[in-house]
Amino acid sequence: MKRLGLRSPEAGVAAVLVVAALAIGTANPAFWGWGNLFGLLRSASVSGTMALGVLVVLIAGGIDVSFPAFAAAAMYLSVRAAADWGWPGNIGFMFLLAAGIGLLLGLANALFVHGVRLVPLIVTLGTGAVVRGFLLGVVGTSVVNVGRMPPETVAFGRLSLLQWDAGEGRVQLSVAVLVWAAAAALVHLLLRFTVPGRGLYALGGDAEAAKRVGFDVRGLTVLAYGLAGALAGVAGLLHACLAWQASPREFIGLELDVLAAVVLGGASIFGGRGSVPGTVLGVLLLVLVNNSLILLGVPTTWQRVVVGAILVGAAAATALRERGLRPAPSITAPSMTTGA
Amino acid sequence: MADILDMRDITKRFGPVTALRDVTLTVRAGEIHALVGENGAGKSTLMKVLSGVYPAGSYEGSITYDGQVRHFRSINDTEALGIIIIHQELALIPLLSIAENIFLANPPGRFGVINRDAVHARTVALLAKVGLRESPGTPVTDIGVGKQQLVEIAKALSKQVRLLILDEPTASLNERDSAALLDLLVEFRAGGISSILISHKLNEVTRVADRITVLRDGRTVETVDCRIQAVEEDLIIRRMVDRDLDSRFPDHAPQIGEEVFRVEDWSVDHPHHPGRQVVRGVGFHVRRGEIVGIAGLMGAGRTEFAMSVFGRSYGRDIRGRAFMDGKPVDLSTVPQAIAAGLAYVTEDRKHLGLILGEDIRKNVTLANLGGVSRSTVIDDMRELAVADDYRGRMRIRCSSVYQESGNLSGGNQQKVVLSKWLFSGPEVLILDEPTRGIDVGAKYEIYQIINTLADRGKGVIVISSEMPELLGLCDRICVMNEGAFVGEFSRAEASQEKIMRSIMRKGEQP
Repeated sequence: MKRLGLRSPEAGVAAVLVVAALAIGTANPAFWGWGNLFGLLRSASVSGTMALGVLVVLIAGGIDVSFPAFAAAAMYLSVRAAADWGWPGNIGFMFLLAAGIGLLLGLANALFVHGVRLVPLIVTLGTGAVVRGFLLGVVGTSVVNVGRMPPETVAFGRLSLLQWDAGEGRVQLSVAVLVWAAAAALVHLLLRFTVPGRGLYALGGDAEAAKRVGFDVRGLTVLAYGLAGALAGVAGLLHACLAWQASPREFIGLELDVLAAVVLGGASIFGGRGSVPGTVLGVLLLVLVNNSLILLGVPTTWQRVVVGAILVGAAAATALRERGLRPAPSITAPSMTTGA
Repeated sequence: MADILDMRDITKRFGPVTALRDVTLTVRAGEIHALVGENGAGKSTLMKVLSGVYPAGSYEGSITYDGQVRHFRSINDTEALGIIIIHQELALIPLLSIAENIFLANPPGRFGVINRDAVHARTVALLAKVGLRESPGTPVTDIGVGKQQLVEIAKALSKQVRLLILDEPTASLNERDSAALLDLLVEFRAGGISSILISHKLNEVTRVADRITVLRDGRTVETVDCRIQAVEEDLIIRRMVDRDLDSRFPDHAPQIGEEVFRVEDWSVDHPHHPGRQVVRGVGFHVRRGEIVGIAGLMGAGRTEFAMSVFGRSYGRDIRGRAFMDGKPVDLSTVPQAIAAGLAYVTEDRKHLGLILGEDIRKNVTLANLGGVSRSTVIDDMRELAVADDYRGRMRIRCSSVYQESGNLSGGNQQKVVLSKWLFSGPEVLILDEPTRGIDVGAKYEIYQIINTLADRGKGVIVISSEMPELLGLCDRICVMNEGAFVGEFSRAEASQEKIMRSIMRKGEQP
């Protein structure tokens, strides 16, 4: 496949990731421990799942900054339902509920973006704020902490795919990584091998051209924002399971990190470009960077500077790579095309 | 009478394309000078050279204005000397008032503070001069396009205009507004203001112009002095189109069969101006094996007609009936149009025809992904085989079908777009400017492809602004003007002159 060749954005991120890992590993050999690597994967799984949804929206030519609020709403509502009423009572159903809440909210985005033809940034800024406001104002501001967390969530959060006893403690690969991997596989198959997946790329690559070959633009918009909402819901609940608490103020500001990771992974903010492998690599790289900044004792405020710079830098790199592939202002005889 | 303007031996190139070659144009002080020619003859380019849009140094030749050789570097240079150009698309800001529009760039006032009383008073005076009875405070969006044209002229007057250039000023005006505008030019002439009038309407040109310069294919053909010799419209038309038809077209013996596609009473309104008809109750048909050309000037409604037929991709309030093989069909959406057997190959290849960032393979299958997939899962191998097949048949020159279509030459891009639509299995193809911007060799190949399609029993409709192309390719040519079909010629009877005459005379049959 040409797209995964050495000059592809995915190869670029992979190279940077390897170099960063080698550098950090040299400075601190403990980095290469299984415990540390599995821990990184675990902490990447929540934003990694969200990133898959954002990827789909970006490919379709949109943008989503509402997903942190949707994730918080889906998480908080499903956890409160389980904690207060003991319903739905099973971790599988809880994930379905969270995904459903996210899906419904995502459909609201699609309605405004396609139905009213508003700019996606404005729509998702607004819906995100509205959902967060409702959550805090109507549902409640209290944090559901360990003592009140539904037992099934805590049990799920403790599940491991792999575990063994190492010298200083147990090495565990959290089940959260499986959730992320499953979501990644699903989105990858959708984008890579199906007609709607091809439609999402076409819509983002050139909406008018996609319309002219008969793609259902409304259906594709619903698919993109609905999927982003559902994945945000799943990621939200996943976070609660791992953290053993659910706060309605969770995920504030996370849109920056997730967008940065997706763009770092080669997705274009203009739409039409991006892949699941790239996004997964982008998320890992960003988690790695954040992690090492913490280890180096860099204050949180400065971490924001780094992540913000990565977002702009990666977006600029993608834009520069694409220049020339889009209809640029023509320098060939305008009189020949516009009439004299 | 002295010359106010003397443009000598102007040559302007865009890369390999020569848009103007040794063009000469002189305008006397106090005359109305008409500039006529086909689409692409070089009229707009020449005016852009004159007005400083193309700065001195980007063209060859000399411009003498008001007795001095000039090297204009920008529009500001020319406006300062009283050369004002009014483009076909008016440059007014819709939500600002008439007065604000007129004094947009240089309002009277001091220290950046606008003197509103002066603006008002001067606007009233200017509006009186152009005969527009509107309050200076009216937003221009609230007045008709004819009055907007007058506001543009008032704006020109506010800049002490000495040479007024009007590009198709009456194109969107009704008869009465057009006449008023032309009368205004005559009035200005008496006041010593010269005008250059670009127009396709020969009756208007012969009515007011003192001299007429004809451009063809980027060259000056002739300047006719209307006060010395009586001007015949036929002569001007002949000058506009008189060129040799060489053997740039493959031979083709048509085998014409049954009617395959027909529309009746087809009308389309402008998408943003309900009630303004862009296509006016037209009827049209094409038979199997037939190549039908649609001729017309820019803005005649050809593309609008084709796009409205193809799944209502353009316009609103689309009315009319469509038939495939004699049976009524519903073409309300693009998927329905494709299913009915229509394909529309856009004139805007780079923007609307291709997804430039995607490879050839994905572009080829885009209009018929169902053909390479089973229950929405795309079969990669089948897709690759289809793309490779078209690459061979259409002779698309590329390193592989994984090459990004944005990196292909114009001719090869067009072959990809054609492949895409052929793979959708159409019975009728509408090709809008199929050879625009591609080189001669690739053009010949596209013509061969078009002939092959007709031989296979497809109905082919070709929209083109290149008249030789229509004459060389088509079995029948329909002429469109102002949203209606105004003439139809068989291959035997068609000629450039006849087509141009029927455009200029709005349907008066020869």
